[in-house]
Amino acid sequence: MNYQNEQLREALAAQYVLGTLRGSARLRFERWLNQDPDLQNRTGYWEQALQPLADQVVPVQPPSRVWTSIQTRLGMQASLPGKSQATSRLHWLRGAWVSFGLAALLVAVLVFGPAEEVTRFTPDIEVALQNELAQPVWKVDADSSKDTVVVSTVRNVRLPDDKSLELWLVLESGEPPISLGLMPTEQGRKYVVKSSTPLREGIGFAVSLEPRGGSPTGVATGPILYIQTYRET
Amino acid sequence: MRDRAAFQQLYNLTSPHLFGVALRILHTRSLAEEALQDAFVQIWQKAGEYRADKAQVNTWMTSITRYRALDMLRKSARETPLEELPDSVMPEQQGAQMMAAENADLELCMEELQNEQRECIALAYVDGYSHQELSDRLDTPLGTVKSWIRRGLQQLKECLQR
Repeated sequence: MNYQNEQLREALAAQYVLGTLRGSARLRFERWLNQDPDLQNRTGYWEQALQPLADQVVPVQPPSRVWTSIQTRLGMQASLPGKSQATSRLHWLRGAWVSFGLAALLVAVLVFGPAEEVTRFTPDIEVALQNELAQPVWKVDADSSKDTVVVSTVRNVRLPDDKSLELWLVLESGEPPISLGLMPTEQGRKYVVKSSTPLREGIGFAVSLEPRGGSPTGVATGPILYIQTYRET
Repeated sequence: MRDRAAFQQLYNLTSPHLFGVALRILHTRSLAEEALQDAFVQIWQKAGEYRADKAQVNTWMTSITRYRALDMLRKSARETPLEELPDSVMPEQQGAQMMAAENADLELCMEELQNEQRECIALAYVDGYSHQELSDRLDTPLGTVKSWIRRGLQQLKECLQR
């Protein structure tokens, strides 16, 4: 596709934001977007221009398990659950949504956030999880000095709609494995998680089949489908 | 720690809005929850890439959430028809009253479009309709729907830049 034609660039940026650019054309556009400041500006224009349509969507309070999962995936220790907001306060949230307070909060996240750690990821643990035909399904790279795990999906994984695959750190002590969150199933997709348990205390990774959204109990409830040690014991 | 407290506050303030946005696109609670999770993991990881001179925070966060939801839409077609959504996620008429001045511009420019153009743009953006789904829903040839959208977007931009 010709990305030099100005009219076409503008149309693609607008339809990317609108959502009507789909499939391989969307993926191709995203690759160009990463390296093309002009496309970034055009996309940014449309994101801002159409934002009022999103602002009109009625807020819906997500269940608290979403915040718990986010914390797990980011390796944050579980703190008090997000303060529960009664439905009657949702109109107030709409006000907050458009206020400037958000910018200050994001700056706080940014200033004190982990951006630097993430960029200096240097894996010292590398394992491949294979299917029964000995084909690699995921590549799992981990940096034990930062307790960070990066999962790359090598092949698409087919899964019933009501199931998820959950990643576990298998502990040397023999205690129950620690959940590291849900595995990506789409080829090319990466998943980054910071483990709250030091990776040195683990000897390998396992993947179990769980109800959609992951084990409801915090320990693996379904069959272990993949397991791979990274340390001899 | 302060960063995490700020992140949690950010989550508390914005997650109902972003969950609403994801639900409208995905129609299924479990998928919308997954999209919201993925979006906040990205928001945490990409906070360093946010440029205040390029975008407002809510726009930046909405885009991350919408694009994730649209990605998920590719692999699992929506099974629940819009009509079966709970009332709480249906559009709210008084929404327009809450709009800030700059939002009023878009509303005025949307008014200037033909009905079909306006409907297609809103359904695509808010509900994640593809060209084909719009063509089916409006019982209109695909080529016509594509040109409504293409021309509608052009006119919208001309109007917004006046």
